[in-house]
Amino acid sequence: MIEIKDLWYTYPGRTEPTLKGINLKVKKGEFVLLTGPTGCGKSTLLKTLNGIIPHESGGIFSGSIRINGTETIDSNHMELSRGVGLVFQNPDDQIFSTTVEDEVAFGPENLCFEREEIDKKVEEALQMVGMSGHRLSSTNSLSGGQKQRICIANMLAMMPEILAMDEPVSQMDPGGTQEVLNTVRELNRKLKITVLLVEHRLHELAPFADRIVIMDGGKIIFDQPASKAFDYLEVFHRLGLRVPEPVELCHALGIRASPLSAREALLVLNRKNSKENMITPRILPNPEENIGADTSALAGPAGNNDSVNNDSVNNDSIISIRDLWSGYDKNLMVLKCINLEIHKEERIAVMGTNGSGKSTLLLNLAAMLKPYKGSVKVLGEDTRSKNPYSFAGRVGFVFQNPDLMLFCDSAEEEARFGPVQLKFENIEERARTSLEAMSILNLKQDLPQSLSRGQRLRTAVASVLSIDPEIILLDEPTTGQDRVNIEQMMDYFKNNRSTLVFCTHDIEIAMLYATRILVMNEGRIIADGKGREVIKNIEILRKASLTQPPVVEIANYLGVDAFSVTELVEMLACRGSEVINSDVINSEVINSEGIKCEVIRC
Amino acid sequence: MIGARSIAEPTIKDTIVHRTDPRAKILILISTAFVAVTLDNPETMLLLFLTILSGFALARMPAIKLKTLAFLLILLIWGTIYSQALFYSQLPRTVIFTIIQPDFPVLGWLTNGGLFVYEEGLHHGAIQGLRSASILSLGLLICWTTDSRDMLNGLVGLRVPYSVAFMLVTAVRFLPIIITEVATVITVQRLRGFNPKRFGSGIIKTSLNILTPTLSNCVRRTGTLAVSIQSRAFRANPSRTYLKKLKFSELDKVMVTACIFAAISIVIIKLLYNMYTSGIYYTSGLRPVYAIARGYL
Repeated sequence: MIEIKDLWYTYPGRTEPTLKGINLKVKKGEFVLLTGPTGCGKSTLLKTLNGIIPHESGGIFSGSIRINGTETIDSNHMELSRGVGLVFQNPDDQIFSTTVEDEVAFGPENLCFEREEIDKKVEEALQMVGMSGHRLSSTNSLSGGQKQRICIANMLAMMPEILAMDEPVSQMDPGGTQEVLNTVRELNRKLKITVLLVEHRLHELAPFADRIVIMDGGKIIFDQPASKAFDYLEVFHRLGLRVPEPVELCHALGIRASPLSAREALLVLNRKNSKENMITPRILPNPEENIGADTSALAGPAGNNDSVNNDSVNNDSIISIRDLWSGYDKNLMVLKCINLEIHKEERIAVMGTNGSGKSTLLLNLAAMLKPYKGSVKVLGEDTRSKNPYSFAGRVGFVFQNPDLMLFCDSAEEEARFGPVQLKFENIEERARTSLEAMSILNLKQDLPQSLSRGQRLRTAVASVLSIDPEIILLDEPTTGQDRVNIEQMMDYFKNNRSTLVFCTHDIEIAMLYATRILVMNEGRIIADGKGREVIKNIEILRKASLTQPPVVEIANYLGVDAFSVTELVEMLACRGSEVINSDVINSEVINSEGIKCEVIRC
Repeated sequence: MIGARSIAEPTIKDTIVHRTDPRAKILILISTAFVAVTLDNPETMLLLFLTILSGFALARMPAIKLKTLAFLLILLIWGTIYSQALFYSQLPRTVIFTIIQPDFPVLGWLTNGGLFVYEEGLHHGAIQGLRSASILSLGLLICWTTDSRDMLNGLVGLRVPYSVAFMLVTAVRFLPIIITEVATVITVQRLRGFNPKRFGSGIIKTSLNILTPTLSNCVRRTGTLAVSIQSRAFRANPSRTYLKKLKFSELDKVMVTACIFAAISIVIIKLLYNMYTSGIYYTSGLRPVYAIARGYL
């Protein structure tokens, strides 16, 4: 189906090739998960498949790409487009029609199908992605997950043989992610559509893939079936890629297995011979030493700092919200009756579905939106009578899209901008420290717009850090970031005891770094407490389209009160002899996914 | 920020205005533009303007759009009347108010003999203001009542090349998003202590600070959109088919015919009248026509 041989590609104006001797074969009907650190060339590789590179991009191209035996370099880009459908990260950048029907019909219309045939193809494509009931809906009225399914339907209406997807779920809540991935998997199985999916969230997507391919520095450095890929855990750790928690757990317990879900892990643990496979758990690294790239150590992200997150919190309330109602239209309130106190040095994760009001809450905290009813006091001042500029230097806001925050000629200038405007002292020192904290000091002379997305986000964060605001607000700081980047950033906030409010869909990161988690649903806070308290409440999580991290699910079934891989391993280690000596109770339970499985109770 | 989007995007309802074929709307707009440019009579101009405004009532436009329209119209009409009243240069002109006396120190010299409000200027400004307001109102009414895909098909139906029509409609579709982003950029910069300048030399720096992130984001988005539509065989063939067929109803035909006929008639009558007043051509048989032109047009 796809055969790539010794592919080299250099973008126009660059000297260093982005792709360096890629060799890859993908069979018809395979589901390949392509991952790797940011800027390693994954997206570039996808664009070569339908001829955008080199036909539209220019640049230096060498090597061979054959799609169904046809050399892309010799083919018309338009013909290639019909065979390879591309879906990108942000559906808002791809959808241009105002109704779903028009959007999906665009491709078949361009291919000159008859009206009846277009009508049929639109209906079929929408049915395939479970959106046939939305045919006449406005594209603006759809949720993020629904929009992304429309983007997939756009391609399916043209019946491509290959679906190439570039981080299609990175901005979605877990519920939307599952919807889209289940759809793609079903299409892959039923229609034998070959799927190439680029994504950082390896730990969530691995269960859907047949094969995992890792790129680094423009080369493919790893290519294994998904079932065996995690036997080589050191590769993932070395590149800072997140590994599914069940895999981490089994490896930490010395079990030679790579289960990709809680259910599989429980089955592995339940096997009689697991006792023979179990060896003494390895000593886990000290969480306080586990910073930055070195966090690739065995414990995994959720394993290191629950104790740190329980640090005593300063009781000074710096944000006080009373009966807040707010929105963009007085007839349609986004936030409804919010009451909230935020104390100094708290790190609060705001979670919930797309459209639940997370970003609106942040905008209120920055005084960029005013309450329709109720009050918001930030640093003792009522935001109703203030404009956001009166909080300049005291409240820092980093938007989800860092591109809107970068306008200087170098990363260093970005970091200097705030302190210069606010006439602070030690400007050089502030800029250097913030750039260093975000690990971009070596890029300080680079044009911010030319950096990778992860680097751009860290530049935007550095530009806020240099001001040293009393409150930092981050809107989805983990989107499209690899694990090393996320941890470097969040470790900085943790170590500096910053007051931080951040929106995220990543429950593992929230558990790891937040001192408190807020769960929002339809504009209301439906849970507010320490991660451990919130995560126990399955009903609340379900309402917010969240699920327990696999390790918590496993711990629940094992009857252990553990919230991270580290804790679970330690508890199992403590009870190791008990486990081995206890009778294995074969009991059937039904997990949260409704799947029956046998578990060990210790 | 969200308001900008709801203002700029069409409101889809089932009204007579919404049901009108986009080709008919475009033709009516072109005809009206000719009429508005040709007319000089303030009463007739006002009648045309009010007729167009009644379209908003027929289309049951939401309050936010009506407020936006009112704001734009007040700004446009007041700005035109005021500037014409001050700087009307044709003769004769009647001073009705003096702002700066000719002998006022410095300012009298700087304004080249004082600053006055002229009666004829007000009159001329009102006509100019209504002229622009009529075209603006009708343009907005069409944009706010036509789905972008229907607009695209309408333009193609009027022989505009598909690629050009697509680019035009897509640019309009993304305009509100860009407005939202500009607002975000300004806020972000002010949170970092920057005070945007509206006047003086600082305006260049302010503009660059806003343009750089907005444009770079546009470039990224455009790149993604371009790749996306290329993947959907955009321009893969010299022609294309359409799922929706535009239907030019009998009512559409009547409206378009009436508008075009009215526009051609008014233009011809004004042309004949202007030929008469400038001494180029006169015939007594056209005296009723001259009377209509003088009295109503």
